[in-house]
Amino acid sequence: MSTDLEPRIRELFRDLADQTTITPDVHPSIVSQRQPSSGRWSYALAAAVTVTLIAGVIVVQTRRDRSEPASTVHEYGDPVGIFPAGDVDRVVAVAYGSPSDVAAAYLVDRFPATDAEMSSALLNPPLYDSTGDRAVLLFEAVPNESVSTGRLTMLRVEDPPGDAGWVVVSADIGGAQLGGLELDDGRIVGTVTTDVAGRGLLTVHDAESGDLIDEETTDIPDGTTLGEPEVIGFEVGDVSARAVSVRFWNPATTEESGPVFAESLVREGDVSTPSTSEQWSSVTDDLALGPFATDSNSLIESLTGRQEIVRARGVSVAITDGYQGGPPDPAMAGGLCLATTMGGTGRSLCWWPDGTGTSIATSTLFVETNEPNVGIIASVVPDTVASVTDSAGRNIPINDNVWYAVVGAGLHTYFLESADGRKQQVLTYGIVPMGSAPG
Amino acid sequence: MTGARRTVKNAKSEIAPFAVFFRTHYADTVRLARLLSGSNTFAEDLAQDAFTRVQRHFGRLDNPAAYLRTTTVNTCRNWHRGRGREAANIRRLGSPQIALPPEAAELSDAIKALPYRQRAVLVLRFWLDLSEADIAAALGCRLGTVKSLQSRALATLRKELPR
Repeated sequence: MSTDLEPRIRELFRDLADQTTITPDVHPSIVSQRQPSSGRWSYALAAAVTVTLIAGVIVVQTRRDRSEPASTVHEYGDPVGIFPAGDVDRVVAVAYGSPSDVAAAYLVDRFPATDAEMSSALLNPPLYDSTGDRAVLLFEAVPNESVSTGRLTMLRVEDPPGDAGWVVVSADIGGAQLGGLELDDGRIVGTVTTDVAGRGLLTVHDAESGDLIDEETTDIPDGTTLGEPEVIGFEVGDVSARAVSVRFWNPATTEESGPVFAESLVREGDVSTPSTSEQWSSVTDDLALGPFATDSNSLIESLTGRQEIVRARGVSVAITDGYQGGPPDPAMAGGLCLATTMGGTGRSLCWWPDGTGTSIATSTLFVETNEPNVGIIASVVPDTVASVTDSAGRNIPINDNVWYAVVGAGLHTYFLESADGRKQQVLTYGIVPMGSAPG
Repeated sequence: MTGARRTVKNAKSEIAPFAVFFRTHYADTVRLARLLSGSNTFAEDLAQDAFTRVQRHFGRLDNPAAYLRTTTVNTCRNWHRGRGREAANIRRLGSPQIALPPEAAELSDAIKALPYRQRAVLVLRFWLDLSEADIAAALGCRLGTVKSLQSRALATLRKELPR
């Protein structure tokens, strides 16, 4: 059916296509030097690759309101069902078994497999912290036609002694974050930070029974964009529960931003096991608040083997075998992936040792932190890279094929040098100080 | 000498198919990415990303052009949904801006505001002149969905745009 509009659309598309910037004589080898971007996490790096090739400059403008935690757009399914944490006074786990088992149970409960348009799967074995009492699992959610990555933080509990179990203390699928949760004297306060427009539903549940205590709906305006999220405060009184589960759900739109979900537990201070209380608080902060907003100094936490988390100013660098952050692809097996996350904001990239990736890894991730004008640059390099230096000649340590640097405002240039003496500039990043406009 | 020449020939024969494919489709893929993403700045990145994905499967593809098209659609969708918004915070120095007449700019903005799949249907239909069946294949949806998406897109544009 032809309409008056169609010729205009055709003409517009022709004009736009004709005016599209196309670098002349791009050689196909440019493709072999690229990393396939890791789905939704890695587009910043895709830009970085090309900029690397032309030794260009990327300017990253820091968020204007640095008091607002970073947020990112992921999506998730319908959080139906009840998954109470159990008797939090005795710290009974929701299930006994491995973190993977408990996490799988959690995902099934929150996002039932019966929903034909929603499935989820754990992406990796648990990443344990140095105490072995906390674990982080990444999972992949496939709502509708998109794939997104979320994170579960779990806490090891032992009740009765010797019978270890794990509880899910936070779920973070990005796009929405819960922060500042406090349950004090029957009153719970907190904030939801989200950059996904739509109608958000906040529910507060008794963590022991799963019973709904209160619910509120909030309209998040269409103009909400990444980097300028809406921060919605909430307060619920007359709460008799000793621990509550706060959940935020925004179905958003199915075609654009997709649904988002966040969940955190917070408990009253009258717990019987103070040490556990501290653990809970700490872990909850990991996801809800970002522990790094208050702990600005670098904290390096290396775990063993190929699974490693390195924390530096709010950024977790997780090295995992395989692929994450995008649709599974059997061809990508055997790759080394680098994922950086911060309070739900994450990016990832992968490098393959089979020669299809870059001979010298020039793909670089950049992640902002909660601190003004501070970010992290990280990258995976193959064994052939002998050293990484910055423009001042400082050596950047390479650990397990990963290097990273915490950077401030200004321009930052890095060089890779291979064992045979080849040297290559990686990238120049510019961080514009807060309040300044990019050049 | 002969041996060296043979080596070169063999090497070329291994890379030639993809190189030819790349050169044949590169410009149009960039244009497609530009129309799908609405970003002239990132169109080449998106196209190269799509080629990267295609290259990994190239030898096993029956119809690499169709696969490239679908991959470009998916790549742009992912960009649009997630990183594209972050990319808006990344400004490349010297990024060229395209100037359009006011009416065309208005239409362009209205199309950009459409949900991605609606926009993609318009691009695939009115720029690539694909059949509804091919559009359905590229989007991974049913034929009826294509009709519905196109209908909704045009209805929205008619509503948003002054006559």
